[in-house]
Amino acid sequence: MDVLIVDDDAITRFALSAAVEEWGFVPVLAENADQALKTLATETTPHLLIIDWSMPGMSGPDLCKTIRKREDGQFFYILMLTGKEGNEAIIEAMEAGADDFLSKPFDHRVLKVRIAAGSRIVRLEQTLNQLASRDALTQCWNRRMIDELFANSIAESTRKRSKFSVMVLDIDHFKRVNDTFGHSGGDAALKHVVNILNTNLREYDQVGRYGGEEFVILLPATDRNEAWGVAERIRSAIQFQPTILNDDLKIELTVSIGIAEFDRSRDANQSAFFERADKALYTAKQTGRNRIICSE
Amino acid sequence: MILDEARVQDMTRNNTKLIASISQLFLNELPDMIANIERAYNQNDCSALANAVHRLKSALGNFASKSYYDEFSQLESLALNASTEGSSLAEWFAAWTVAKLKLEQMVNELKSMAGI
Repeated sequence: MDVLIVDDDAITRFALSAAVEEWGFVPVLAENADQALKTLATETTPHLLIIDWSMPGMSGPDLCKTIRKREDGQFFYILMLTGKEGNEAIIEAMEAGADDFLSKPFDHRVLKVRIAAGSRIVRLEQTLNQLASRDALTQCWNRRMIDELFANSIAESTRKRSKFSVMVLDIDHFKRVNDTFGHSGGDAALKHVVNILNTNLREYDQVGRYGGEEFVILLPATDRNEAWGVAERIRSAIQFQPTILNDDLKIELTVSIGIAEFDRSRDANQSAFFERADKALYTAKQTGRNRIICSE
Repeated sequence: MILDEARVQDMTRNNTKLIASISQLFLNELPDMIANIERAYNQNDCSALANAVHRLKSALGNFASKSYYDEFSQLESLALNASTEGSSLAEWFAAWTVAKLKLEQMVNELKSMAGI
């Protein structure tokens, strides 16, 4: 786990860095609040933070307040270090948003156990976040999360004026799968489809389970023609790679896919855009299944 | 003993190379930290003085005994009080003179411990 150390004193940074490394963490260093905020803006931001109270520029408590104002829902465990003592300092640090507080000069063994406690809370929060945002069976995003990512992708596409396509995929005759192979067979088929999706998508594409056997795939920086290519790769992979239950039993599957490319001039909002892809899926179902239809 | 050997050993897991590195880093930075304090004092800039003392105090937190660290907390408070209440720095200077002598002692103890 990465630990962000924010301290203007080079010697303290060096000492803390060596210590947290010894305790099995990866130190990430910042000399001041500005550097810390830049690190916290990256995708691989640390979630366990050791922040010095007194720094030139933005102070530790002000940095805490800035971090707590973030609206992206990310959790950060903040341990504040300070030369101050007494209840007033503890109250000020905690009210600013610190989770824990340690007065300098501190015993490194105490810091070690406090950091260990903080890392347990960060892991717990990450587990809860995982449970709240992932589909328990397939481990792709759940409906709540894919809706949120969908809204973010539309905002990003609007801001950058970049292409963005969405794909709605439904497994054909899935009820028949459950009736024939039981629910465990159906579960295996769903997991298999998500594996194929993950194998055939790019790192920045997103997959979410929208309903029973329906999936939504977000394709940033992708126009309808490129989306068609991705969809065809997925459709054929699912058709020609059946779900293997055991040596004697396999489930043949096909999927229908609806595609729409985001068009700012006609998609008034997220649901209007989604509806175009969903209608295309409906057309794919109505015209024989195992096919891809692109919204005009 | 001004140096808190147990603290340094604990912080570095008694790793001699690490003790030497961290001590050298402190010794390299110390002249600048002292110069900043004395410049701020000579300019009668109490706010800058409090900041400069705080910087040295932070660094000392890694090496010094608790009582010596507390002396720097007191120096910082005296500078801050002078800054906010406009009081004289005479008391501060008397305390700094004593603290600086002890600093020389701590530097010698640190050099001896670190073998540098």
